[in-house]
Amino acid sequence: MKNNKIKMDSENIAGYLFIAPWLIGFILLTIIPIVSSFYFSFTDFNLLNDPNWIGLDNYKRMFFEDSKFWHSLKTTFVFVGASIPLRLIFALFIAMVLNRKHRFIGFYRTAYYLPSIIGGSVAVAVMWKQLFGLEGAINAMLSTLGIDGMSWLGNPKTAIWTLVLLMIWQFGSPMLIFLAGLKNIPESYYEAAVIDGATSIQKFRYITIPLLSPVILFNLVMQTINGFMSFNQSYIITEGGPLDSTLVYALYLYRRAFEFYDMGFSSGMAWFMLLIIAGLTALIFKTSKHWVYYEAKGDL
Amino acid sequence: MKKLLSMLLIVVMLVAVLSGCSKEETTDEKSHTNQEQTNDSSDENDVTNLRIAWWGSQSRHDKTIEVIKMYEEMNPNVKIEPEFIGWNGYWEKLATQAAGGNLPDIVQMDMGYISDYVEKELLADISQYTNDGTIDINYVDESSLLAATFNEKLYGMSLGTASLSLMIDPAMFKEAGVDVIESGYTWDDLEKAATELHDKLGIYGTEEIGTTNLFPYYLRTHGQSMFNKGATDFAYDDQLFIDWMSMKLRLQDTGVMPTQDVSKEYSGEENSLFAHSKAPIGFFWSAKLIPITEVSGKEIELIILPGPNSKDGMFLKQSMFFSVSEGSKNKEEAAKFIDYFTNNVEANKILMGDRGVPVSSEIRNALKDELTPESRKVFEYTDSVVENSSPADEFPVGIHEVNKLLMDIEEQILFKQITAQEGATIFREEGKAILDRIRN
Repeated sequence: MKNNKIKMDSENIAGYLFIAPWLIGFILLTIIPIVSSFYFSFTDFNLLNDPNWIGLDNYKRMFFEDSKFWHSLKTTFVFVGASIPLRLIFALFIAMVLNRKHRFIGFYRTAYYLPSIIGGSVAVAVMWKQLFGLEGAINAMLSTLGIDGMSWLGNPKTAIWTLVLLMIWQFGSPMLIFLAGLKNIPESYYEAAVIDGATSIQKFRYITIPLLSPVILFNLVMQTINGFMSFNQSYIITEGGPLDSTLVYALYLYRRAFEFYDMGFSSGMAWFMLLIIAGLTALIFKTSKHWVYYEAKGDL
Repeated sequence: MKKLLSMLLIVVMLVAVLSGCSKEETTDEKSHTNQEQTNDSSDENDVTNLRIAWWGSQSRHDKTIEVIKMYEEMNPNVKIEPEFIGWNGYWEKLATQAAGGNLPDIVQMDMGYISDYVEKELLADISQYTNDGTIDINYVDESSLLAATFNEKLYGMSLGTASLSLMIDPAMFKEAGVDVIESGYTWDDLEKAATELHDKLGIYGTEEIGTTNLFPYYLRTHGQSMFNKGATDFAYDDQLFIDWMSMKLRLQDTGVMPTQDVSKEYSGEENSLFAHSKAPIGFFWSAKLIPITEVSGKEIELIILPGPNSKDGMFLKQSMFFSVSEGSKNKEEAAKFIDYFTNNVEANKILMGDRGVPVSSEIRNALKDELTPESRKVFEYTDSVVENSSPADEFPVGIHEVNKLLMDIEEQILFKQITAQEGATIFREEGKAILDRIRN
């Protein structure tokens, strides 16, 4: 008995040493900042002077005295609510199209994935800004069709939709995952369904969706979390405007922190966002019992 | 053998981990208690590194870098690393650097922000360098030193004076057959001229009229001001706010002034509608004449802002400063560079008053004959403003948060989400809340 224990220990030590670099980075760069930010949310830390404890004042101001906070929250919900389902639908559609045997299918897959690789970058955001600008490509194209262009980015009604469009365009990651999921569905199911006289829609509804549902769940959760954290697009393309129509939560958080030195407040905002995302994710998981079908577990 | 190999690997990993750790030098810039051993940090044989940050347009970057190179040639023991970007984002970048204890040795400062930075103890008191002659202030205007003096300590050297101005393109006026605006005109005259220009030329009559700079001017011409002394509250009548916003609404609705979305796309002097001949009238700080002329190649006139009572409204502003950061380890070298920038004739021949009319009378005299036509216009305009102005209002701590609020509310008014009346009330309420929070 004792001999076994000692052997285990030396293996453990080696293991820990191997992951030591990552572990140290994780503690220093992730755990410690997270805990500090929780502490700061109860102080009046303004980035430059020592923080003073002010209890729940930041949270009070956040919930009761800051209309922009609620506005940015609402904007983010609308943004996520519009772009994530659309992105997933589009991703699934493209994945299904690409799930064929075709000579150049490999090329197409790469081409469709490309926007996502360059996706989150600043360069793409700047390009998008040019595209939809007053003298940008979109307006130029419209004018050749005889339609007057408009200021897509400057109109509070349309600005947010240019950003949603950008989100949808970057469907590459969920698409690849859907593709992998689709490939896991045995052809034999479809063949059996065809023999029974199923239409395409029935095949989709009764075979594809249920068997893909774990993948849908995964994509939904991951994309939702990412969606709530989106910052780049809004910061670079529209700067939160016009009229704060594109002021997403992360952007407002950043502004309060770095433009107004309101670090304690922003830390509070960050923790609140954590709660929201955790809550939503828990909700998604809870409802998943009703629509996700795990083959291994048996019938729906 | 296997055991030896795995031991070797463990040792290698340990070394990798530990060497990664030792890179963390705590740059102790955060310690405000600076009983420093600093000033001897530049040994004669070592190269001193200075970092300097400023904002501006491309032409300013080019000129400043040229001056830096000249200084480095004369002082081979000094290496200067420039960091420059445009106005947008400059202050966030500085704030982040300040938080990391990583401010550049020399930072360009603005009246609206310097009091914040002084209050947060981020800037060094450079009076010892002006007192011991490292920075020669014999020819420097007293008023420029006062503007950067807080609690009897000097926190920055002014890089020039500037004032608000109306810029017009007389060629476009001629094309439209509209009489050129002359000083002594009023806001009504301006509206009329702009409307005519818009009608005759089919383009905007005037650029966006920047509220954050011009509304306080407007208040001053009515004998009021934005804030009270000490900036604990506002000190103007709501009616003036409503009048101002109504004027902007009028101009916007008749197409004489661009709507918010358009003006956002053309922000910055080099990108502006005015510089690209899409508007014959624009409001800018006087020194901007230089980059605008460079970009557009046009003949531009500088005129004092509209009246009535323009004399009460106009003011001379120290356009910007160079300050030394409190955490700098090379304050003396930094001070020497600032002295060069302020007093060296060759350097200023390159800068040509790009940041404003130089604050040293010696420099102004030396440049007199070498001025480019644009710089001459700026200098002459500034001289005329000196005669026709009153002392500037103070720029209180937190003014940029209030200004952001003002721009937000103006946006809502111009997009017709709220009326000017409602805007006046909301601005007063929320602005006061900001002032209260900052004073505490």
